[in-house]
Amino acid sequence: MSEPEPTRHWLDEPPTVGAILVTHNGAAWLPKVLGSYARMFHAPDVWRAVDVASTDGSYELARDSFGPARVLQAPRGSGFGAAVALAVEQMPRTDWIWLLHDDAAVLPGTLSGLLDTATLADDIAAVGPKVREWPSLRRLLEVGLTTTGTGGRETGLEPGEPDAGQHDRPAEVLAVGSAGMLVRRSVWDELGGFDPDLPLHFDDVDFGWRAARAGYRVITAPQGVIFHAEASRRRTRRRTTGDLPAWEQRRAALWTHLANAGSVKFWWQYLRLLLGSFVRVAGFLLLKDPESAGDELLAVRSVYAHPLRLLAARRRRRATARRSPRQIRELFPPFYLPYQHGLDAMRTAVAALVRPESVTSSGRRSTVVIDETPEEAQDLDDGPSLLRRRPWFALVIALVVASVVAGRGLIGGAVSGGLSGGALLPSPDTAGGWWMLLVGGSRADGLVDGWPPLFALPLAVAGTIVWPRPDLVVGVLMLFAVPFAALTAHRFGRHLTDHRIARIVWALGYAGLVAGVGAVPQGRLGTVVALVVAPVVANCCWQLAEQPSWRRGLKLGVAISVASAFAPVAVLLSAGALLLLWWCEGRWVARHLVVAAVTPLVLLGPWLIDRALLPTRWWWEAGLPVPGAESLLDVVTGRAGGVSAAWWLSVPVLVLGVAALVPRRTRLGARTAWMFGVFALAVALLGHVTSFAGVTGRVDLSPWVGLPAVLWVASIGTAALVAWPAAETWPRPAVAAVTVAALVLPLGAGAWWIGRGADDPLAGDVAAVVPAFLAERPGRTLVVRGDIDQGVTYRAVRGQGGYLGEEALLPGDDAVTALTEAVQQLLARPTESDIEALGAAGVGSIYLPDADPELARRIDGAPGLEPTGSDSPDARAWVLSDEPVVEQVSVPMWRRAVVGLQSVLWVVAVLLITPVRRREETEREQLDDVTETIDLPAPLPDDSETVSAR
Amino acid sequence: MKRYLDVLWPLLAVALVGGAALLPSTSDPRPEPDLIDVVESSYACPTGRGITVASGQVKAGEQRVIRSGDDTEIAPKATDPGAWSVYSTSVPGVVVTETGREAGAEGFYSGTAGAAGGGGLIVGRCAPVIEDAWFLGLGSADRRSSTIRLANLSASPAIADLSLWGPEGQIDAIDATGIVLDPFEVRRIPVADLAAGEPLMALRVERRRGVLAASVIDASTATSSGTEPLEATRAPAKEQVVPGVTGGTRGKSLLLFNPGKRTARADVQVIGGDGPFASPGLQDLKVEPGTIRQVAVPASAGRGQQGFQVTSDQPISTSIRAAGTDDFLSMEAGLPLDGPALVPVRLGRAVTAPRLLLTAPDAAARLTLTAYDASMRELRTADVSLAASTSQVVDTRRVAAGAAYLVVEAKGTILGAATYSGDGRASSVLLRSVPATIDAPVVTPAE
Repeated sequence: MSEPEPTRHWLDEPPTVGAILVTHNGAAWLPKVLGSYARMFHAPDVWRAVDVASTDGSYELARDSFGPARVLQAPRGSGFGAAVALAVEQMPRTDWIWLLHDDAAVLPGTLSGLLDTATLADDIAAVGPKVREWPSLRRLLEVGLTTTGTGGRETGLEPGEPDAGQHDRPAEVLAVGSAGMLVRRSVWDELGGFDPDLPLHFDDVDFGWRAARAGYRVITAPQGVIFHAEASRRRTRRRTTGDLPAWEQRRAALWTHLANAGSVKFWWQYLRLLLGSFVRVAGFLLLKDPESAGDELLAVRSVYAHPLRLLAARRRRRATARRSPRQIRELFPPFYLPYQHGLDAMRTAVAALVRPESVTSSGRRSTVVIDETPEEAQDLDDGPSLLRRRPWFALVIALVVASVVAGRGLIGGAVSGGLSGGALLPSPDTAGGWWMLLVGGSRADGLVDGWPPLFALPLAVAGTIVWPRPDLVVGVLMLFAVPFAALTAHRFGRHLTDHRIARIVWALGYAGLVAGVGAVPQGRLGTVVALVVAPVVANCCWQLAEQPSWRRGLKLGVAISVASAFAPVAVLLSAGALLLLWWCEGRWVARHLVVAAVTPLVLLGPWLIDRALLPTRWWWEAGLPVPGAESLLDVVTGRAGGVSAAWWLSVPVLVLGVAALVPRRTRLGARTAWMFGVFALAVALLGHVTSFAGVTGRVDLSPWVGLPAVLWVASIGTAALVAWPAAETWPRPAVAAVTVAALVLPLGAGAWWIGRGADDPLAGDVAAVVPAFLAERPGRTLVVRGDIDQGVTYRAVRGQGGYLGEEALLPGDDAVTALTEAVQQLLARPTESDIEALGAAGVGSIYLPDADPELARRIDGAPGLEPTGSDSPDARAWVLSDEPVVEQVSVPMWRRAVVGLQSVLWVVAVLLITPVRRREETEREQLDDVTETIDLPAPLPDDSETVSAR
Repeated sequence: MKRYLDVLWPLLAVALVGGAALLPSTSDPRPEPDLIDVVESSYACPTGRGITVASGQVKAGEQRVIRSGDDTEIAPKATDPGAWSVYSTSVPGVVVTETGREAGAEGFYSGTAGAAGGGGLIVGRCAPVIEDAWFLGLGSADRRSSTIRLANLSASPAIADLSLWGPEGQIDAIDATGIVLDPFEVRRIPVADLAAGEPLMALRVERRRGVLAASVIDASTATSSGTEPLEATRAPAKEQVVPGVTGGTRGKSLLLFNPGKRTARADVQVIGGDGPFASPGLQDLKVEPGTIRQVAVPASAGRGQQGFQVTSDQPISTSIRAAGTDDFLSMEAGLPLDGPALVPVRLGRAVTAPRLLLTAPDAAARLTLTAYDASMRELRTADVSLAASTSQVVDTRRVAAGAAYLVVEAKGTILGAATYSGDGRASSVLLRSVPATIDAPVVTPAE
């Protein structure tokens, strides 16, 4: 609720104000804080300072500033409220009390601005200033406070939100921070001041909550501005004996909620906060923050172990309450806000996992911007264009835009219902489908044999975030595969060269290879993921070679596992990479390479044996085992047949790769790249001359060799990148020729990619394999395609078709043989027993999407079949007269246990490679930062108006 | 020298590619078409007073069920799937289902028609499952009456479509399409009910749905009277062989049916005992589209055992009708024997051991006859050799002595028919390989 614009009417009869400054080891800020008091337009009538056992000279600073008579000393361990209460007792009565912190500086007009609002109405209990961050001075910290249902302190501001005057209208809020709070003395007395049970944190929220229940209003006064270092909250204050423990903050939150919750909502909040705390403990442990987890438990124990104390607090609040909780409901944020914050935290955690160096362990804003002076902040100008300042960032944005353009045929489907087509099956209805695939106790009829595919695990984890729309995970992966690949490649490229432009061209070339191989339009999710992860694997190899550690070995193993889960042939390629690393580095990395090699075996387990260790199946990637159709020229130029860019686009890269072997200075790196490249080429050629087994187990499918073929050309391109420093010394025409040659692939493949689009056969609509009226019938639908002369293929489909991952569950050799025989009999000379065999195999209906007349005629001759309507003139359908045998197949407990154990091992592995958060280290670092701040204090602006204008 | 070693890497890559180029790549290999075992055979036999049915198989089956038209099982004594069973029943028709892998079950029937029905000898093969069957020589005029017998061989409804053609073109038959047969129903349809007053017709029976059997019995009370089961002749083709042609120089006629839309021109080569020859009067026979034509076989075609090889520029169907004094024969075009064929010997009192009329239209071929008793015990074997492009008659009385049936197996291309005769009456049964195996499309689970 916005308040009317205040006027300075109170100057006619100025109200009396008593200012109370509480200090505790705040010597780092006090000189500037005390200095700011001297320049106020309207000063308080009475001053009192209370020092709480400072050991850093804070007491002396306050004494020198106010004089000994106005400085009180509170005993060690006193809370902020107790210190204020001590001062209130000993100072003359005033109309208003102004609370000040030792780490909060004021502007000349701060108090005037507060009084402007505070004197607007008699029911205003307290007003609070606009709090900006110190030392950055521009970022907003608070303009009023509230609290979420989960006990979070909510400011309603975006992290790091700059002050541009967007909150400059007074508004009623639940509470204002104690730093700079101007509180009416009568209300202070009526409510008993701050709760002694909240010595440091949440005392302001609790006071505002009580004031609201008592019928008063708490208003923000943005005309009053203070600059707050938040030393206690950020734990940058030097700690001394008697200071409150870290878990006090959470305890205060729980206490405040349980003490103030209405009687109707109390028990709900009681349970919710208890369970929520346990969830937070689990979350902290997952994020490798055991100290915070311990703090959470201590806070819970402290609150829930003292029910009588809590009841007494609630009784005290009931005594002053005059409004019902419903009447102040609008002062609280929406219910979903804490969950939104949870998502933000998860995003940060993922960022920490992917790019650990991009996330500081502490995450404190003051640490990040401590060296920013206001002058710098104010003098910022637009500078050169984004492309010149941050070319890679600009190109990534361009790639994302290009992905959207290339995916124009898929966007609609990706948003509305998911992608499918080519090798890609649709996603399940919810992420639960993937979870059930992994650890479900039973499987649908027909899915008898085989281990669940481990690629379903990362999909399930990611899909859980968007539970009802798991297709979004696959959609994002497929749509933005090219920028993803460019990002991971560029990251690896930073190890290879310091030359930014060369690195960018190389990364774009890799992205061009990913686009040009056509894995996306062909729906080959396995290749897409493996190609995105491949540079990560290379990056891990590099890091391991530079500084071996078991953790880096494990990280390499996890990266290989992810790639191999989606494309099992990555195991073979990774084995080559590990051998190469061992050959290059020798004993230096031998033990860690063992960790990297064993990790995929452990994490992928029996499924790896099913797929990767059986050469006939290691070419079968995630999705349907759609055969490849590559020629030798395709393989040599980094393609694998089907939809793909022109072969000659890769030729310049190969030429540059050969030339890279010439300069002696960079030959070692180029040779290493060539060695892996030749190995990848050998793997691709192996796929070209062999065949593999898919669902049926028959070894007669031509492998898709997109992954090794791309890695071959990418390796040769890497050799060229490594040799680039040597080429820089070449004559200018030669350098220009090399540059042009290097640009052919990214530009050509990019043009092809954008021009052709990323669809077909991948489609943006999930086409039902069988019509709905058949899908709803009991049993599976036998979908038959082909004709008598060219042969017939069939698929027994449950519902409207299986989802991604189910294709890996093999129906069992015997079941396949029996069903194939029954289908063959059906199409030769069908008898009743053949139809019964179909029914026994769970088939309830037969569907010919493009009915060959002869096939249809033969099926028409089958006894026990009844023709039924079809969804198109070209289609025919029959249903079995008798009900099919539909059975759920139980998954053996031991298999579920193994998969469950593997899932746990994945979690453990990811946790082990996640950066550890260590509070002590961060605090120490922050203290160092604070010291720097003290040495180079940030100047304060002269008045609030000036700052706002900026 | 060492500085040039790195050149080896590109060379190694080239060598790998070269090596791969020498190896065959895998390009969607496709398995050969399958020949699958028949595990169940069904056929429909006409029964009734004076008609005897024999059920047999080349290999003992597992179960034989004999049902009447109302789906009741009958003739329990004849249900031994390991025996040659001869039986009769008063119901108008039976449906026999025999299971057993590669059993090769077939049924035959015999009898003598009464004077009102032409009075001829009837020996025929029980109607097997058909997809699309072609019959030539039906009539509903000139004191001829043909009866179509349709049978549903399964427990599901079956639907049949009939098409009739005469010398003037296709006949607009009444209620000839969408004929629904209840499970195991046997239905007799006089051709006159569909198309009255037609002296010569060709019939096509198409199965629209279900498991269907079809046969035709043609009777004549005209001067050349008699009764003969018409067996489905070969589907229209540009080259056909009608084996088992017998009789004198007169009374034989060649039936040619052109179902297409273009005029067919056919030439006939007679394959006699001494070799093939082109008979004057049987050359450049023009058959208008959508018509059946009857051509009298000239005396120059000779007599005795013969096979007629008909070649045309359009797909046609053909058969031969031979009239005697008291009976007439119908001989249909067939396919070369590519497996064992059953020849009934014990088939009621009206039948004795038949004569086999064999034709080897191409190269020399051999035939083995093996006699079995009713318990499927092998009795004796005889071999027959045929010179290239010759026909030959084999008297089976000796080898079939005491036997219930014969099994003939050919080595080479041989077509043939068994001719039964007695009391001046005769009947011919085309030799067909038993349905022990069947071509099936290549079926693979989709990847």
